Amino acid sequence: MTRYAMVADLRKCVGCQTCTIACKHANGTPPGVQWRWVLDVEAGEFPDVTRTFVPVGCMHCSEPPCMTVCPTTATRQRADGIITIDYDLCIGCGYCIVACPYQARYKTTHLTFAYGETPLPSEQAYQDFGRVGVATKCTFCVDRIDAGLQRGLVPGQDPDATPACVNSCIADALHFGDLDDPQGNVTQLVRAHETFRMHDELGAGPNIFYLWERKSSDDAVG
Amino acid sequence: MMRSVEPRPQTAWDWRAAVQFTCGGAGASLTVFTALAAWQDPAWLRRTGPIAASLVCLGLLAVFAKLGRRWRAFLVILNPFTSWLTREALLAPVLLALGLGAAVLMSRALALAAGGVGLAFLYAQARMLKEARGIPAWRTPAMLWLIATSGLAEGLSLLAIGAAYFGSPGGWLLPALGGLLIARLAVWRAYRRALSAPGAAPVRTVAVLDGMNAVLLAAHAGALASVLAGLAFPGLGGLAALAAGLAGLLGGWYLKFNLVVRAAYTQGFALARTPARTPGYGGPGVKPGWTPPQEQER
Repeated sequence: MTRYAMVADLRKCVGCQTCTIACKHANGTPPGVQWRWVLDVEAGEFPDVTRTFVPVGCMHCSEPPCMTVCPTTATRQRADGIITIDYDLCIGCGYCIVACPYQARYKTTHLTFAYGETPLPSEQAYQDFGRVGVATKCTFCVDRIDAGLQRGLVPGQDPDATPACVNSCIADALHFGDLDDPQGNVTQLVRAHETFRMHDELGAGPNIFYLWERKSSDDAVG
Repeated sequence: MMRSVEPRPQTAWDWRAAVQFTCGGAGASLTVFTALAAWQDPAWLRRTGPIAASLVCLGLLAVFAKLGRRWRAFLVILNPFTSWLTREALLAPVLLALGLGAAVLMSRALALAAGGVGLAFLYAQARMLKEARGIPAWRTPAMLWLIATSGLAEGLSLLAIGAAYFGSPGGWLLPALGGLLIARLAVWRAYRRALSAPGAAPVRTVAVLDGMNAVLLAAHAGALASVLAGLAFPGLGGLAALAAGLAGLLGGWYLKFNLVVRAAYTQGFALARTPARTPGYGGPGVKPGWTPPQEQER
């Protein structure tokens, strides 16, 4: 089996938002819609403070709450774990938006552009009325993965089969791959590091793993 | 653009969703009490039955208005296996057909069936909110009881308002209304206590709930005082039923509207640990916008 997952190394992320821009560029999302965010989290009290940059988005959960509540079956889970939305089935009820604990879903009511009512040439190229009035979210660049797989490429290793945000990361903080592959990059990273999954206690089984420290007893992968 | 880390108000479900829960819940519950009232006097089937159906329709219309793709609304029926929204949508036409059929045919049996479907409709509404795992104020188990008891109290309040005009359907009306109002108040207190527990809800949600408390207490006090006045002075029966009904209904609608629109903050974001940086070690986690357990316990 294949189970795609993402790894975000919190020690390395510098909050440059390149992944955010790469996502917007690759998916043509309108203003205000960001399928990939990088949070700026401050913690502690002066002088003992920390600042952590945290990439977030759809966690492609193993037990996705958005899918069970969807009244039209527009939200589905593929065999490889990727959560998809069928824009032709979605009625835009917004139930999945309130069911998602990660605030990963969006609904726009009309086409908007970065500078007023006239779309830029790049926006014109990406205009898709099918995504208006329905729920949208990160797809793990599923089209890119599928096209790459058809060419015999390996997601997470070959850029042409890997999500745009991962390809663009300047700090090597984002990784993507098959968590069921024991020799795969994300499996090795998760095995070698202390990790957590956000809001794990809610039971959705998110598939973005955050690395926060190397395991002291294991020097296998860094 | 930076994103807030703390929980923020959800905006996906606005006042139109609230109308679905207020009007839909009260209407569904009114079918239950219409069936009970009609058991003694079938005339109630044509007095409050159409009002119940109209309220359910108004709720459905409000949902329809908030859909992003309205003309695909019929697709809502595709997931009865796991979605409580689908289940509610499937129950609605059955409820309307049975309720209106009972009124047209003056059939107590149809009215009882409509009442049963009304209860199921109310339960589906409560489950809808409970299954919204992204909203801490909704996903708590106490939410089920709160929506259920409030819906029932609203339906009986509507019947009480009707009784002020048409005459009481029986001596059970005011005691039953009093009992349901006390039950709703008790559930509200339990719900608030559950969400005020350490780490149970965002700070802002708790603040909204605290702000609602005075209004809800006043509404319940007014309604219960009217119930007692009606029981103590039978001559005041109609007036007392009207006052109790209005306070009970508006209190319930205030509760639901605020739960859906104002108290519904998102989960926000949290780190179980902060990362190790060179040189240094990983630190404790952080959950902005949520009161840490030790701070609340002090």
